[in-house]
Amino acid sequence: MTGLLLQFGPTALLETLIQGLGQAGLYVILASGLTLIFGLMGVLNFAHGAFITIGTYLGAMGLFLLSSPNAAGVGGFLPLLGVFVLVFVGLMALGSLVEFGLVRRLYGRPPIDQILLTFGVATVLQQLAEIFVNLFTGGTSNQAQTPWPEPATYGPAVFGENVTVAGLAIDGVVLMEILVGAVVVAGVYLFLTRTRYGLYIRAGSEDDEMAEALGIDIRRVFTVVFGIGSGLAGVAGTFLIWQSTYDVTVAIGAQALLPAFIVVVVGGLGTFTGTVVAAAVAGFFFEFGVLLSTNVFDFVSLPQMLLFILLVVTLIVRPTGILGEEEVGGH
Amino acid sequence: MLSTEGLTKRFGGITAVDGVDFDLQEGELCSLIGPNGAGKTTFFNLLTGALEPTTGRIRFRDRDITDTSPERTASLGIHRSFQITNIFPTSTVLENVRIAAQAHSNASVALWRNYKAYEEFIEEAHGVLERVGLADRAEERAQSLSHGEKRKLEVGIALAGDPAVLLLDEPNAGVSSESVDEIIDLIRDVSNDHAVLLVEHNMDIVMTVSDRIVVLNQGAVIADGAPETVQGDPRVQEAYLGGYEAGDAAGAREEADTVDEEGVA
Amino acid sequence: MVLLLFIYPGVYSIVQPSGGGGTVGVLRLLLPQESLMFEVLILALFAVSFDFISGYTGYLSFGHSLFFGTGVMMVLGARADAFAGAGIPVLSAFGPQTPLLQVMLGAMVLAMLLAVLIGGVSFRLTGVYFAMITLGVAELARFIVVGYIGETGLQVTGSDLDWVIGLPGIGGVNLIPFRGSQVVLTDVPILGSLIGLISSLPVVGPYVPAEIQLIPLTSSYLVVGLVVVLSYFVMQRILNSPFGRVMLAIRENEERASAIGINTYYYKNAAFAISAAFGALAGALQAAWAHQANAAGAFGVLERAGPALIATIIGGIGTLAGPFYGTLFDENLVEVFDRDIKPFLGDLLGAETLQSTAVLGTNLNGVIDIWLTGQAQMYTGTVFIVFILFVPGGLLGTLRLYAGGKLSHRFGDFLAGLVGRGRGVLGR
Repeated sequence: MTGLLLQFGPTALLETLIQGLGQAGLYVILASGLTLIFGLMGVLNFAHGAFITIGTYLGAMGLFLLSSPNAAGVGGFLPLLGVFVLVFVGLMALGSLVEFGLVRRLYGRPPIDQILLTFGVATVLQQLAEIFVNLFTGGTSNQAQTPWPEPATYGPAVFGENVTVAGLAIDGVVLMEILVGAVVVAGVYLFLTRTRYGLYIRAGSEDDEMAEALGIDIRRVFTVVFGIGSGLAGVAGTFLIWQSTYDVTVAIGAQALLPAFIVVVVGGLGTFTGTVVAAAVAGFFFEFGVLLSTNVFDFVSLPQMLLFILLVVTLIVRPTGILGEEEVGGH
Repeated sequence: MLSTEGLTKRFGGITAVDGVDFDLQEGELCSLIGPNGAGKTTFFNLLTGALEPTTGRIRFRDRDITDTSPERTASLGIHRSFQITNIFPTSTVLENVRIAAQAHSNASVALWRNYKAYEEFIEEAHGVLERVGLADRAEERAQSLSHGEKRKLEVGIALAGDPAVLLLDEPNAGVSSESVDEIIDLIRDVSNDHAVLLVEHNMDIVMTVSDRIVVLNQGAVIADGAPETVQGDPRVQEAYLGGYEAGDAAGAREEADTVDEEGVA
Repeated sequence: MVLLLFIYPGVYSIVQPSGGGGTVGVLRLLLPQESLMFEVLILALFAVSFDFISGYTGYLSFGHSLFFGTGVMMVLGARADAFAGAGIPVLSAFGPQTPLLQVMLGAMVLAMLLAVLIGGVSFRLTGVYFAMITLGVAELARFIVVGYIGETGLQVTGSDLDWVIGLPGIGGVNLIPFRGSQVVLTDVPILGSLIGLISSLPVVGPYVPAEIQLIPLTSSYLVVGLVVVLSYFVMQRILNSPFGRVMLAIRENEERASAIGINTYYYKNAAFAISAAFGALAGALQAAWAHQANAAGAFGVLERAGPALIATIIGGIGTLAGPFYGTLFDENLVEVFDRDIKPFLGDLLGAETLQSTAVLGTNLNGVIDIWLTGQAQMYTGTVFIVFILFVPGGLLGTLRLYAGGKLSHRFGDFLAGLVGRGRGVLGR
């Protein structure tokens, strides 16, 4: 193994480490929503993938509206911030609506029913996204399922280009992912520790008396958290625009859901700290897979395979995940 | 026949069961009493293997069963009923007992023959239902039974497979006073041909049916003997009175016990 | 019901003698084509296998497509001689000449092994973990397979597309050709002599045609139908065995099940393995007919497991026949939306109207293309949500609840009642 790595030299390895950190940032954004929602309500939200897809397309629309192709310098970042806010708020509204209108009816039913419901929501939203994309492109050729490279040319010029930092060539979007990933970790951490909602979430959702003592309307907490989780999914979807490993099609969310699930399971269902740790591990695994598959083995699926190995090893060594507790959610 | 030696279970900083030495004799009806949170249900969960003890051993007929799983202890002949009704809700009453009878044979691995071809289980189930007084409800769904009937079914499921030891966890819990007598008769009846360990809150019942009473307080045995002896024991009286006063330790323990019971439900 | 499936090709050809032609009637819209029934049978088997584990033990096998894909890859790999080429140990014994039955059995065994591996790690945890882990493994299998066969997939071509349906150990015993050329039924070994026997009977004999020819689609449809129906009965039989009762006990109350002495872990694994085997059988059948597949169609959770899940819920989870009807509904709707509705509306309203009626900046054709073609899953998905919320028992489960028992039994009682009354009338 060491011999395998040594042949790359320190620069390539360091670059891979930083790219892994960027990937970890992306995973954190992808998976936080899932973890938050599961941790609070025990609902495994399959609609997360559809929210990611909608986030991608909403992000693309935002970019066309606010940004310009290859926006140079700092001027490119302000519109980007606007796009993120737009996507977050839009998806938060959609997520809250889904919780308020549908998921809410199933609290108290077995967790499997909630999985099924959100799966149905995912199916319908996915197809709706396809219909809307086809409506806007006006074509009958099903534009929604063909890769759409245009949005990636929008946004800051450094996205998709290598920036030289201390002699290392790093894609600008990787640095952005590290930054936003860190912001999300900090934000969710503050939300969990500094707000009454967060206090309630950490206390566990079973304790209605505590909620009353804190003067909290539990139903509203559920709606808000579902909304925040969905909003984060949307932001993650926007980031996928610049990811070379993903094509912008309506299937993008379904594809991105897989690493998110792996991160959540490896970290331990419903524990945010576990998710962050697992995202870091998975990020490095993935990027080393990319490094190996482009230089050593000719096997394109190697990064995914490494994630798979990570999942399998975790399940064998510690089935409840790195920081998970037994019997979460019930059968 | 079923004995424990220094059995201890700690949850975090709380000791729910504290060095219990206990021995259930063949054919006796022993009651386990104590204030709320004394560790009675935890003790049951340790005996059946639902929980692993922190220290101590459990023996059953010269066999060490300390680390065996619930399904293994059940197949060895230690059956339990639950404090919170724990049945197969949408199956028929008959099927609830029949599946338990089947579980104590090795027929469950049969993939091809129709389950109705195993008439011995159906007959045994009918016999058990007759005994617990549910014969006329056999074809109804278990969830449609009244609470008192569900408690009888709970005992019925434990009876199937003719166990050596019956652990009955508050078979009277929540039963209306009219039906209590029926359940007392049932307890008496099953104690004729099984060793029974009974957890019960109602002192009148305990005093009338028990051969022996063991009193737990804060996880430890504080009295063990014939009903009359235990009744007069000053420590027992103090434990009961003390338990209801604002004892902090007992309060905390009660919480631990509730959590534990929820885990069971 | 089963009989109906077998005589369907005949019925269909009587109802629709013109086949394609110009006229598209309402019947065309309502009656699925034979080729679609073919799909329905295979996908229904897959949905039933999904229901076997999910509906009867309560553990949702979300990534059930893994087993479908295993069957597909086993068949295509053997046909394309990929295993021997890649030097994969045991599997290299399966080549293009291996009889179909043996390949299918191989696929089933492989799927069972996979199931036990997955179940081994995930059945110690709760159902949510199980759902997630099966899903993860299925999607990863898809990625890995893409690494071998690419996004576009694998297509087996060659002149020799006929399958030899052999029996294991005997090999080469051919009952009915699968795929391939026209079949003369009277030439088929056992069936032929059976027909000969019937035609020699006094009364019916003269009505039997001297030569019955079946096109490949029909003969293969019959083979698939036979396999699917047999599988269905095997699963039903298992569910009515003591083992099946244990599965139900686990679904009803797993804690109680282990308290009465059932080692639920072993039973869950065994049930999962059985379910996986039939899932793989469905995949193998489909690949044996289509001779092509892509990773998404074989392993995709949304593409393959999703419709099975939807069909199961709509038909009735925990009823073995439910997924059958659910699949029929599901696939038929897809067919109608994708192909039939446009010509049908064209006939009804006139092609001109479709072209000229302006709706929201496009015409009716455009509306159909965008809102209906390829979008059937949105409508079935909506029905699915409504069912989850308001009809958790599904069509069949709810009907049974109201009828108070299995419908076939009820119907039997009803007939018996009629006969009884009839006798009464006659007796008087």
